[in-house]
Amino acid sequence: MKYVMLIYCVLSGLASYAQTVANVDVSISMPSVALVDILPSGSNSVTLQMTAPTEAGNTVGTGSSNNTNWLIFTSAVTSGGSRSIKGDVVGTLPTGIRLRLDVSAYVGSGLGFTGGNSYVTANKYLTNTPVSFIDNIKGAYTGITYGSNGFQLTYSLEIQDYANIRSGTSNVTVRYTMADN
Amino acid sequence: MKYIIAICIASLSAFAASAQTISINSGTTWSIPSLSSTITKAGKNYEHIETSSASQTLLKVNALLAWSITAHLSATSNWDSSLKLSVQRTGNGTGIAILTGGTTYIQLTSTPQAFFSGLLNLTASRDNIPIQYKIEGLSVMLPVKTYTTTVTYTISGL
Repeated sequence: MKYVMLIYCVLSGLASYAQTVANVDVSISMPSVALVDILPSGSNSVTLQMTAPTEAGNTVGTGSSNNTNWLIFTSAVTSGGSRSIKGDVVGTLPTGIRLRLDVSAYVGSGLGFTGGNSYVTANKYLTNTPVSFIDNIKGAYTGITYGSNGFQLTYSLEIQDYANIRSGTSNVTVRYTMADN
Repeated sequence: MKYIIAICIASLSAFAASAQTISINSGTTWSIPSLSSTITKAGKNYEHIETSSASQTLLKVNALLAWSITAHLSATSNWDSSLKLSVQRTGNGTGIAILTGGTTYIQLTSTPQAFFSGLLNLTASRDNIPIQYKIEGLSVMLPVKTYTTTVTYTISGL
C-alpha cells in the first residue's frame, strides 16, 4: 500500500510540472513594400535648353542642366530578393539630342545603402527603353527631407548627332519605376 | 503509522502540486497577419508600434502562498531580434491573491525574466489576469515574411 502511495506522490509531482508552464504563440507578417517618388524644389517640371551660337560657324552651346530633383524610395523585399529603379522617357526626344541623367550617390539618414546595396549604375542616358539607374535594392528607405535625403538627379542635354538637330521645343516625361529583379 | 505518514506525504505532495499551476483562459495566440499601419510615403520607414488588446491573454493561476511568474521567448528560430516583443499585466483579474509587478512593459528575451508575483491565493485561483503585448522595431530592413515566436510563462513557488 505504501508503494501505491509513493507512486501517487511521484505522479502528482509530475503532474505539477506539466501545469507550471503556459505558452502563447505570437506571429507578425512583414509585407512587401515598393514606393518611389521625386522630391522637387518646387515643381517637378525641369526646363533644359541648348544655347544657340551667336556667330556663324560656331557650335551650338552647351545645354543647360538641372539638379533640383531628388529621388527617394522605400523598399522591403524577401530574403534574397532585390529591386532596381529604372528610368525611361515617355514621349519623343528632339532628334540629335540625348537626355542625360546623372544620379549622385546616396546621402541621408536612411538605411540600406552600404555593402553594395542600392548602388548607382553606370547608365547615363534616358531613352524610351527603361534602364536601371539604381540597382540591388533590398530593404531600404532613403528618408524624405529635400536636399539631404535621397539621390540627387541631374538632367542635362547632349548633342548626339549634330546633323539631326532641329530647332523647336519638346515636352517629355521621365518615368521612374521600382521593379523586382 | 507508516500508512498515515505515507498518506500525509501523498496528500501534501498532491496539495503542493495543485498549489502552483498556470493556464490560459483565452488568447493562446496573438497574430498580426497585416500591420495596423502601412507606409504611405516613399522614403519613410515604419514609425508605429503594434499593440495587442489590453486583455489579449487571460491567465489563470492556482497557488497556495507565494508564487512568481517568469516570461521568456521559448522559440526564436523564426524570429528576429530587432523585433522587440514586450508584455505587461493590465489588471488583476479576479481572486484574493495579492499581485505585484508586471504593470509596465518588460521586453522579452530567450532568458526568463521576473514578470509578476502573487501572495496568499490560499488554494483559490487568481483568474483572468489580463496580459497585453507590443512589438517594436518594425522596419523595412526586415526580410518580407511571417515571423513567429512563443511566449512562455512559468510559475514557481508554493
